Amino acid sequence: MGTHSTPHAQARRLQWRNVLARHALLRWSCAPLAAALLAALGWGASRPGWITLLRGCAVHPLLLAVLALALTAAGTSRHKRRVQGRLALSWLAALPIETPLLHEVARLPLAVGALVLAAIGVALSTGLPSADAGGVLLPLAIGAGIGFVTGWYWRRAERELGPGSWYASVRRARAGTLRASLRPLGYWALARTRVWGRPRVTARQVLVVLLGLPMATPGAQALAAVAATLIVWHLLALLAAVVRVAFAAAWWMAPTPTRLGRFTAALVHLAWLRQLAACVLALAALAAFGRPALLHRGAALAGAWLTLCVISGATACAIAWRRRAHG
Amino acid sequence: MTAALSVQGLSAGYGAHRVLSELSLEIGSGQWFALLGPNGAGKTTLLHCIGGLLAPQSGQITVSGIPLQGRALEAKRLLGFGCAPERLPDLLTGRQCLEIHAAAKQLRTLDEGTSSLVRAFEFEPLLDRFVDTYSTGSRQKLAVLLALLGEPALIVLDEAFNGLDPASALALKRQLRERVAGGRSSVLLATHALDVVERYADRAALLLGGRLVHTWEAQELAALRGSAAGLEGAVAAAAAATANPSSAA
Repeated sequence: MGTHSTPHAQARRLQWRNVLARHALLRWSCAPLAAALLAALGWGASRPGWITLLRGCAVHPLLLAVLALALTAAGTSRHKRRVQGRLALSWLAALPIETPLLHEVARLPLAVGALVLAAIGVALSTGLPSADAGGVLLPLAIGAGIGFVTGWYWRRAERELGPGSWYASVRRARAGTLRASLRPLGYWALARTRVWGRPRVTARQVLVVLLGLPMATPGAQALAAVAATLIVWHLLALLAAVVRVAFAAAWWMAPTPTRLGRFTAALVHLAWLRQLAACVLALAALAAFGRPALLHRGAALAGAWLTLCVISGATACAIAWRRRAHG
Repeated sequence: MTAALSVQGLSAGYGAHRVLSELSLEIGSGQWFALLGPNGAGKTTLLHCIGGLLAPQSGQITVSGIPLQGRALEAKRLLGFGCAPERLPDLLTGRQCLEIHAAAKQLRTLDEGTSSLVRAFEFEPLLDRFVDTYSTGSRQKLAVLLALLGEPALIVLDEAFNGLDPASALALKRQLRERVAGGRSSVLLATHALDVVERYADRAALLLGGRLVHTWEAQELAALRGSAAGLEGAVAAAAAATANPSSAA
């Protein structure tokens, strides 16, 4: 496999070299960043909490092995599918060489394994008994090894992922008519928000929030936390979408005789109305708690947020406009 | 008579990399001008300067006598620019793209020429679909429709026939020819399709290393149509003469 994987590895090495050659800041910050990460790893691994955790894990080797197996199997299966897709579309795909699939898929678990090994090594040097280190390492290695093989051969049902517009709805389709209007610029930002807010993405945010709640949290509070997460995500996505679309649309509209004011109004106002609606919804939910102080604070926050949205949207439009050549 | 496009002493590039050097060019009213040149010669850079997508380092561009640098809005009212198909907005439908450009050009609805091209392209079923579901050819059609919208005095197209099926390509050529013949528009087409240039263009120029090195007038193009080597041979000869002036002399 060594010689077969050469073009892929060489291409990646050259691409990285070019990136580092082009960006001086990245080039000079790489080594300090790596050193800082290693120092942080060393510091974290020498903490008493880490040693206690490892000693606790050493008591349940079977559980540890099963956990390592499950996580590695799921991760490998998913990672393999992604790597396969990437290699199939690679510019080197047509070359008469064996695709370095195993090499590409194994790199991630090997890197994670090396980090875990280093962290256990540091703990070993700062007081972890060698028996406990062995009691953690052995089940982890066995579980990860079996998990990698399982994940490699595990064929999960593949879901067909469509283009981003699957998640955005067509607005005001009027067969046979065309009404000249800059209003669809606003739809562009809304469609981008819907793509960023599709269930596949928001489900992850919701899961993280739910996992972060204490076990004894009442259901109503958990639901409120989920609702708040979705609203905050929607507000952030709307703001980011306006900024992103401003730059793409300014470029696309550059050869047309459009004025900045019309462009900004068309792009920002629909997204801002959505922001307003989301804020009103959130305030209505806060009002249901029956705590005026909380409602007042929420109203002030919503006002500040809506002002920020207008300012940042208009600023993004102005910057994007100025980047064009004329007018 | 005012030229549809006048470019005087244009220099442009990206950062320290200069692509166009002191380029001058004039396209008369009701004229189809073809811009030829190898990859990297600067054709797209020139078109981007005319479209207002790239600021020139020096020089002046006027559209029907209106300077693009000083009176951009007025100049752009006369301009129809075909953007690269991959730069079309993915999350808008074809109809929405047309609506935006129509509003920008202060039109109420599609002009008859563009409407007939929509029919010739069989584009109606695609109008209410998102651009990110379009094929390369469909994107190209939309880019062309946007450029032709509102009967602009100057139509600027970059490789407009790429990806078009033969019927659509023919419809576009006829539409452009009709507009040019009627004196309603001038066309600046950057292309590698020499057969299109031979048959349809009124003038052509070869761009090499950021400079126009040879221009073929209408009579010369007509003469090349009947010759054995054709425009292909003439372009090769002009390129060779530029690369090695002493041997050409």
